[in-house]
Amino acid sequence: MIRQIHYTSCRHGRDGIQGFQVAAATTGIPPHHENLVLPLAAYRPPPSASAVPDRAEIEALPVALGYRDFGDVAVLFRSCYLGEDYTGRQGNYFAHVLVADDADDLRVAPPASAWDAAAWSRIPPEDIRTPTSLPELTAVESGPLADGTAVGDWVGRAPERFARLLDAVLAALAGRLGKVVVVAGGQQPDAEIAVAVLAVTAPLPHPLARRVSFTTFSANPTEIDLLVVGTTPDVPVPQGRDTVVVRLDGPDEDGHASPFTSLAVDRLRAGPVAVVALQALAAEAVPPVGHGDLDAFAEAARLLAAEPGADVVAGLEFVADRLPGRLGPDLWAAVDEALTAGTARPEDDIVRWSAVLRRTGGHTPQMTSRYLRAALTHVAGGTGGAELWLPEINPDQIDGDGWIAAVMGIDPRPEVVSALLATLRRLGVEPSDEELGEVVERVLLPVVLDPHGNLDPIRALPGAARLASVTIARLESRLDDDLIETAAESMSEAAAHWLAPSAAPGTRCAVVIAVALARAGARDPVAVAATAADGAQLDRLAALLWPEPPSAATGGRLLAVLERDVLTRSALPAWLAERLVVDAREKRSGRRHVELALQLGALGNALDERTRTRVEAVLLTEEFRNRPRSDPSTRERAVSAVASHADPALAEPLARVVVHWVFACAESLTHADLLRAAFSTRSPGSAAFLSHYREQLTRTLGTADTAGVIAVLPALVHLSATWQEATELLGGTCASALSQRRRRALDELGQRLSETGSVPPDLRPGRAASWTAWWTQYRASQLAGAGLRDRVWRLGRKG
Amino acid sequence: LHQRCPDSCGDDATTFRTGPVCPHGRSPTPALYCPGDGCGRRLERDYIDTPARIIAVVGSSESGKSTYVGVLVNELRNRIGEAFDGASVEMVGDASRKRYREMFSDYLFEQGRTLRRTDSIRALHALEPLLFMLQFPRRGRLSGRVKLMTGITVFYDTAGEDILDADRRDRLSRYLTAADGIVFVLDPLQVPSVRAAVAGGGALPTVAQDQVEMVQGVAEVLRGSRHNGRVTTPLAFVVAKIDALTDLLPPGTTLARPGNHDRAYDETDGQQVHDEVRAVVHGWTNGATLINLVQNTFSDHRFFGMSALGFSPVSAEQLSPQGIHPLRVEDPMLWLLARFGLIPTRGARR
Repeated sequence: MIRQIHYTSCRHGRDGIQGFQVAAATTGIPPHHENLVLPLAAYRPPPSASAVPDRAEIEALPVALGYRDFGDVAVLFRSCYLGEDYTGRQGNYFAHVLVADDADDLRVAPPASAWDAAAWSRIPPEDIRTPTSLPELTAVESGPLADGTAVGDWVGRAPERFARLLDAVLAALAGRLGKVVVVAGGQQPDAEIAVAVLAVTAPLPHPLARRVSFTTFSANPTEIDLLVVGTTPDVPVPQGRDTVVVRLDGPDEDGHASPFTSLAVDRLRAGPVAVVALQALAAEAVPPVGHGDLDAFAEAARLLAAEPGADVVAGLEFVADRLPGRLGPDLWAAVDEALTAGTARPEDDIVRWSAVLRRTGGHTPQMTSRYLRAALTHVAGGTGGAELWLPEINPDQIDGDGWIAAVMGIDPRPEVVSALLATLRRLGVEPSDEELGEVVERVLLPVVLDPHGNLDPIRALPGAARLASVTIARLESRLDDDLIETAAESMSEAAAHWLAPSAAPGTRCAVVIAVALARAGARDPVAVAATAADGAQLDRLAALLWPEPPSAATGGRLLAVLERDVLTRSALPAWLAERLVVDAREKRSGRRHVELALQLGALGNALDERTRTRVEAVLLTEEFRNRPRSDPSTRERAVSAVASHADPALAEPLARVVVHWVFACAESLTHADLLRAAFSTRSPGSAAFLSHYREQLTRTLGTADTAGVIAVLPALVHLSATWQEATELLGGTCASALSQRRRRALDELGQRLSETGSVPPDLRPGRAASWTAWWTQYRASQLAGAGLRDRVWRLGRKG
Repeated sequence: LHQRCPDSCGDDATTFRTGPVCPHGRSPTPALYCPGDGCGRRLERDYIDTPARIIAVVGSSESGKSTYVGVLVNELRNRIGEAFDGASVEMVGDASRKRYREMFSDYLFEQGRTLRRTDSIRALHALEPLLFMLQFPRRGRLSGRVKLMTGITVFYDTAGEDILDADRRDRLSRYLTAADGIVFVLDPLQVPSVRAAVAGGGALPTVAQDQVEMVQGVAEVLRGSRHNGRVTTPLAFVVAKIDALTDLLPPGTTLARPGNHDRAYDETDGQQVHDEVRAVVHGWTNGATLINLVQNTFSDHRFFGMSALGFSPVSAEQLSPQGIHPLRVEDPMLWLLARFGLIPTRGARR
């Protein structure tokens, strides 16, 4: 329903006053609607207009055809200048306003086509007392512009002006501009602006066109609240950031036209039928075409019309998303044409093509083939591809080996090759073993044997196990014995993990992998060593796993898990014994070393001599550290300890504990046995024993340990008959130490020596008849000056 | 007040409350804008910095309100300035200058035409103001120093028919209630007894609106919800077109000669004019009612008589070929300015 308003300055109007008022109106227009629309329809002549124009001048003044959709009401108006009013004063105008509840009710689309329509009242009715109500209208018939001739001509003449105006209007629709001021000169600036507005709004989707409010003329563009405001060159145009001025009176300039602009030009020049078809296509879009979608919509329209020059993928995207009803053979035929013509190239933006093809169906063989090639080319280019959509095809259609060979020739990085392999697998294409072997040779082995090689892309492949098997086979064939160490050193942990399931036990690859994992801390080296089938394998593994002798703890675990047969046929026990020596040398021996020695000792005769000596040294050291009770067996082991040929690092602590033990026993015969063994043997053990013995002897004689002295002296005296070393000890160490003792202590020693039972009967005091005689003689010869006077004198000399 | 982002903010530019920087950290443009919802008009710096007095001009249709404003501004800018020791009156802002030139001065002083009809407030988004700044030199009585008295005056010209319609009066109310002074222009040629008296003496207005009704309309707007008490806004009740009433005025009337407002508003002269005009009006149709209505409605009012053109137009569109010779057109304005304290007053007050 369309209601009408006539507004002018008159004597007899609906408002019942004299002056500007609603002269007549259809009943039922709410006052607030009148208040909305009347300011839009207000008219003021351009500044250059004559102050008192004559009839011809008035008719030449621009007419304001305007439109605005307020949401709850849409208004279309035509305002023109009348000159004088009933009082004879200038400034009067007549506005014929059509008010509709909805813009569609106006039934003139776009509204600018109402220019010069027959429905407009051009002058007010006679200013007499007449009924002031106007009838409702059912529709507004379009004016002469509706045939499209004028619009097509104008667009053809000034495509750049059209483009600028359209861009400005779209920017305003997008909210980036507040107002577009269109300046037109010439004889009929209002008509030209009407044509321009019609040209801009006709190709727009209907919902957008409805939003383009406009007037073909305003003498005050700043104030009027419309999106497109036409004016004449004599009107000062507003300057402001949110206002753009498009001049239709200047020369047309070449410039860039957006896809929608170009399409609009084409359709407008083709005539109303083409424009209507475009509108119809836009009306199919769900959701409706917005101002930001117009270029994509234009591409879709061109694609659907099989016009060259369309951005096919953009058009395809729009059709797929917004015009699903248009997805069909015709569309794909158009795409095929573009592919054939070379205007559509999936390889230029494979990701977009992938996305749009993923959500569409009915692709032609050419489309599929071209896309597939582009996708594989994309993958081969090393820019990924896992996310790309792939069509379902017969795998025989693809030369997988050829693609692989090509990729390896171009970019043999694992990620590239793996992406290609993954893509081929997604397509159901399995490469031949020969080609996979080539992949392994040229791509994988260098990465597998690179400590920092990145195998992640390969490992992630669904068919990675097959590749791993091929890799193992190739690697095994290359692994000579002397390369195992190198391979184990070079292999990254990731590679070892990946290959491990494919390596058969006992193979060189298995060794390399196990060692690599053990070195990386991913496997227990002991467990790896435990896989050795024989002594030789164990030796090889041990050498790879432990460049230094394994720790005592590891050694213990090794001895616990390894087969005795394998162990005894290997050099591992000796290698472990070396750990005993090394740690003893560095004073780091402890409980674990003893346990290791015990485990090694359990191997018994299977140990070689050197190892056994080392082990025994450790065990004896531990035994005598605990000061065992003296018995024949113990004494026998003490004698063998003194004679030990173990490394000095082991012999020295052994000697020390044995010396401590023998002095603790305080048995003359034991002293004698051990000293005899020491004097009669030239070994690291005897040398260390004598050294420690002298020290302990000095300490014992220097103290009041009478029992200790009574145990030592007879042994030395007894051995001095045979061994010069004993004589030297008596005359040297003993004499020096005893000289420090008091006469009374020496007397007591003599007394103890003379007592029956103090000295074993087996020990005789050399040539002396008795121990008393020997002591007397020894004191006289060796300990002269041991009295108080002599000690004071010596003290004085020292002081 | 609001400011706007500089151009460098591009599409992100916005309007914001005044501050040293815009929301994007840049220096804003110096211009200031109205913060009112849906307004956003640029505000003249002088308007913000200087105390402003709003004067609304109302009256019946064809009473000559626009002509009065157009001539008054010209008088203030030229003749009155000289009378007040070089006082200056300048339009403020491009919009006022442009509007005055296009809507007033070109017609009146360049082309010798009557002004175009003023459109109704219904068809206007807002009344378009004329802003001008007045600067009066004023010498201190003790110090002798010259002090510059400055004020902004805002004129709102209204369409006469808007007073007669309730809906339009509502729209006018925001302007009238905000006004510091009201100039009510009465067209004597629309008063039946005067029309009869001057019949044949020249072109009469085609309309004859009831002047009592007009004053009542204004009073209604100003009273608003207050039904008791008088309106305190000063009202200058101006009888226009006195050049057409020469035969109806008493002999030797002060209205026939210019006012003597030299360096100050002459209160004695003003009182005399007030008395004479009131007496004249009293004799017209509904004159007593009109005077009573004014007296009972406006506590601060004064009657004036003036002729904006000096000679009646020869037609609805054409001014007299003798040109524009205003008479006492400045009186109401000077009275209001004296009320505002911008100019001194001379002579006794009753």
